[in-house]
Amino acid sequence: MGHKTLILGIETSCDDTAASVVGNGRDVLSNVVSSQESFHQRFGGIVPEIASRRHLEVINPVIDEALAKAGVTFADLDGIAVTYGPGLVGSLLVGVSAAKALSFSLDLPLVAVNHLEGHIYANFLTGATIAFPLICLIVSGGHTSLLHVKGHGQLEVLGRTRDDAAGEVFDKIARALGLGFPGGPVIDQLAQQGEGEKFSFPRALMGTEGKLDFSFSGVKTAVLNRIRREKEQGKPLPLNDLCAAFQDAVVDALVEKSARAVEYLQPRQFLLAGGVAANGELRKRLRFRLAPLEVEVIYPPLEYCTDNAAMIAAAGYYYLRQGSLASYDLNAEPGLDLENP
Amino acid sequence: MLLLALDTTTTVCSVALGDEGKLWAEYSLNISKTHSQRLMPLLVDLIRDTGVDKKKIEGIAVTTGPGSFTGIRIGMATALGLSQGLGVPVVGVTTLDALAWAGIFSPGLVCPVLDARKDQVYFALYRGGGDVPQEVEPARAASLETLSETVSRHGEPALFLGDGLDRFRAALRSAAGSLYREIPAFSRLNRASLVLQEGFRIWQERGPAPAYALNPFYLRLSEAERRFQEKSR
Ligand SMILES: [Zn+2]
Repeated sequence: MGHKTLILGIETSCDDTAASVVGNGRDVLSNVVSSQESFHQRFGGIVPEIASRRHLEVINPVIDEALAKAGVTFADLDGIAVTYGPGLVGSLLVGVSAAKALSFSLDLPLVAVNHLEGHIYANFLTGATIAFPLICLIVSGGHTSLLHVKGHGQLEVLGRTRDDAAGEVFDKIARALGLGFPGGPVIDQLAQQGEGEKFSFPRALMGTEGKLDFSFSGVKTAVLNRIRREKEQGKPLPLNDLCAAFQDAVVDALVEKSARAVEYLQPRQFLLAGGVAANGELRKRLRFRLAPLEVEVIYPPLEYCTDNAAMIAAAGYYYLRQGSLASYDLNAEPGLDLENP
Repeated sequence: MLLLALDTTTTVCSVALGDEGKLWAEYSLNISKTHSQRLMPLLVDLIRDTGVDKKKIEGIAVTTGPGSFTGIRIGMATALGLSQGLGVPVVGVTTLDALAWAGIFSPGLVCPVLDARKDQVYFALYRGGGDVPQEVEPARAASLETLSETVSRHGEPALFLGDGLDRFRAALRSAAGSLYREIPAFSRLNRASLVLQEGFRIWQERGPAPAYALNPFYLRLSEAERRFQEKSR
């Protein structure tokens, strides 16, 4: 096997413009992410129109940089993979339009990748051998889902959040505590110095057998109420303890539902994916809780937990091998789901 | 010089291919369907039907606005992707400058008008009758009152065109009164051949844009920026 199959991945679903070159769906030759964080800070959140404008300004240089860092040219590529949903429609359209134009002008096959599925493939960049069927927990700012993955592109949703996504709740609590955006990393850090037992927040485990859905709005409301009451007392907020107790509640729910899914389906491997997969407490508790269940727990490297194009290129490699190519009438699908990838 | 032109800034999705002296082909759709789904298939057909080797294309001309923000980005992201993949330069053309070519035979005023939503229009004034349209009033986003004041100030008949007529014809007609003239439907809307024409002119005059330095001509701030500026005033 001389030649590696090289895929250029393009990802613009939210506020990061990313491009990457990946060999054989595993070897990351380059991984370029241009963050827009500073552009949105003054508005206190991501502004879709501004995100779209910024994507258009940087996408071509980002692609050039990904090629240069990988030490390859367009002529070395075997295909182009692009995120077509879910996400912000204006942002997605910039990536999709660029990818189609490149595919056409270079006569390269085009692959359309579901962003959420892309997150799963971040685990293929660990060097570990991934074998189906397996269970995957996707946790991010927009999604919280437990999946039964039976093969490439064969997904069954076991459970999903009925209200807020876990990452979204981290952001909201961080904002209420004045910790800035994104909230996950700061809360994770402060929680390490706090004692979770000082407060007690609801777990929302929703007993019914086989039901693997999540709910985080109860935790959110309880924590927000607590913060308000603490503030009313006029004393400095017990930041560390609040963070620890809140994080415990969210992580508990994620870990417990994951364990139930593993007990029920008894897979060999369990994958963690999405931005919240970077959370140290979640990683630790999952490994601890799943260890007796004889399941191998795999996490993506930290840099591939957040949005990136390497995971899109990795997913694209398997689609390309299967011959599932996109046509040029490909559109952005902002509401794309996991049920029908 | 073989130039490929694209336009997706308004309700029309249009592609054209031509040399300076010859328009090889032009495909246009005005069916208000997603440009993102239509643009590339139109382009693939255009290249296939003309039998032109795409590696012979020497440059891309694209409308940079004003128009629909999303439409501007679909066209520009495609043009820049083609430019990157084919290794050829891009020339940016404003939607109104391109449209003005449809009125080149008129010696009087030519007024392209685009629907800018929020009860506003994008417009500019040109004078036809020469070799190229001469700009008389620069492009702006404005109310219909501003448009009618501007036209009345010049006190001569003006030839209106553009997709702004679809929504504002009655209002424009009453605002411009006896000065109102209209280009017939067959030549009223954006077409990539007009973009090609203006693209050649700009290319000869000042050359294409340096790589990736093509600026969108939104002509209006995003809603969030507008509100932010108002607050910080
Ligand atoms: Zn993501």
